[in-house]
Amino acid sequence: MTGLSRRRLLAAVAGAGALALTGCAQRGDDTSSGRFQGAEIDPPMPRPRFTLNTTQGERFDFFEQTRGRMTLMFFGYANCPDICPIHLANITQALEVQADLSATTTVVMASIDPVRDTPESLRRYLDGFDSRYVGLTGSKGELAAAQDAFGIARATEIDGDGRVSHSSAVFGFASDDLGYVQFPSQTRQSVYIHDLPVLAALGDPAGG
Amino acid sequence: MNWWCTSSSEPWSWTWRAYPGVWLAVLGLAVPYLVALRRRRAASGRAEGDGKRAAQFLAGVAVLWLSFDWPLGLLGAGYLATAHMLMFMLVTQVAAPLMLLGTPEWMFRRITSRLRITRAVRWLSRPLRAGVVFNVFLLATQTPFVVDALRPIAATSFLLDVMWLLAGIILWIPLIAPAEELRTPSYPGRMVYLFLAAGALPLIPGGFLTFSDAALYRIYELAPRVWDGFGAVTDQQVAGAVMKVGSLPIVWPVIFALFVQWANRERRADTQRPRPDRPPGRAPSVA
Repeated sequence: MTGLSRRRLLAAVAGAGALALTGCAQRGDDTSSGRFQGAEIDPPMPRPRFTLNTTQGERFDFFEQTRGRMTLMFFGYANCPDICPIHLANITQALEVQADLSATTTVVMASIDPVRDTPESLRRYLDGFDSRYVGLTGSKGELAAAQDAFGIARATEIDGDGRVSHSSAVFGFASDDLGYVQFPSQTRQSVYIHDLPVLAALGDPAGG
Repeated sequence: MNWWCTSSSEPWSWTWRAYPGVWLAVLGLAVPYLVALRRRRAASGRAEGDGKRAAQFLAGVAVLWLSFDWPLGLLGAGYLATAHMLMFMLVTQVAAPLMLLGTPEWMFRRITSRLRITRAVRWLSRPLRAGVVFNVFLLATQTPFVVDALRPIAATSFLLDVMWLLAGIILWIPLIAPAEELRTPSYPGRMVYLFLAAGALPLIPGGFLTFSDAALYRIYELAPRVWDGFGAVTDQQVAGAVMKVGSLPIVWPVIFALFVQWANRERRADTQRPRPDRPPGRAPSVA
């Protein structure tokens, strides 16, 4: 093998490696076409109205207290073994990458397990991701009304193993108070990293 | 029940699980080795170093077992990029060289002859080729797209692990091939080869993993967490660090050992070389 062809071989290997580890991996798993990599809500949904309690015990009117802010909202529970911690971890990572959006985005998780998720345990759980995240709890009736306001199936307890079947979608609202995008379970960090600036621009009269 | 460890959306549990394919693979390596050794002893008597070689080979097989079976195999197949990288390191840097060291020359020649890979092995024994092929294997089998595609199915997950073992064997052939003519003759050449092939080039992909903003591997990003607070990006960063420095505890001691061997050989050669003040042809006696 000549020196030149050796160098070419090594250069090709290095180039292929760089492409392999970056290009292939940066693709999000597209669940929709168009401006979002998450599932676009068409037509956009108005920000719903419901009231629950925060982990500090204060009443939280979702519409009024998130109005005008980019908001990511989902229903989950602290004992959830898979969907909820992955959503929270991936949102947290995306907001670390899009640091300028971190201060203007409200992340809300409403617990659909009011028996086990006490305000204290829910607070502790969310603090494991970001202490700014809003945790909401309420009575079964209030939680049912909140889920109805989003038009999603109500959570039901799976017999025996303590797991709860619940909607896995994270709803993304822009600051114009419209929900444009849903992030289903298995949504990757790269999808949030792509979609959050798009959502921010939609709510911004200058950028949208 | 899966026969080989695969990725899964099930929450991680420390409850033991059986992977019979791993046991069969381990037995498939160890039993024919021991049978062949025994037959050889029966035919030609016990050869010097047989016991040590058998211990090395079986230790290599044991490391393979540890790597592929529960819990490390399952963690690496579907839950933690760190475990995945640890498996890679164990297979390529520990199991493969131990198995090569434990293979007697006659067995190595018989295997390569029966598999008709003697010429291929000779071609691969050149350090540049072996280094390039090992690093191509490394990149190909660490690419997120490949790992995400192969790990969910038992057969392809098995294939990935076999590729790692092959990559490890290819890496170590120029250094410790059982057939002497396949080993790189020059000690400096061996040291440079090992440093570049196993120590320096993996720094590049390891760097991608360490410095990426987002999780690159889908299966590890979306797997249920094994430990609270050990998120996908942290896991990936640790995996990148393992790729970058994980081979160093093997590579540097081996380089040091090669250096010592080289120095000893040079010293012996010096003492045997005729001195200018002595009549030509009279070498000093060696104590």
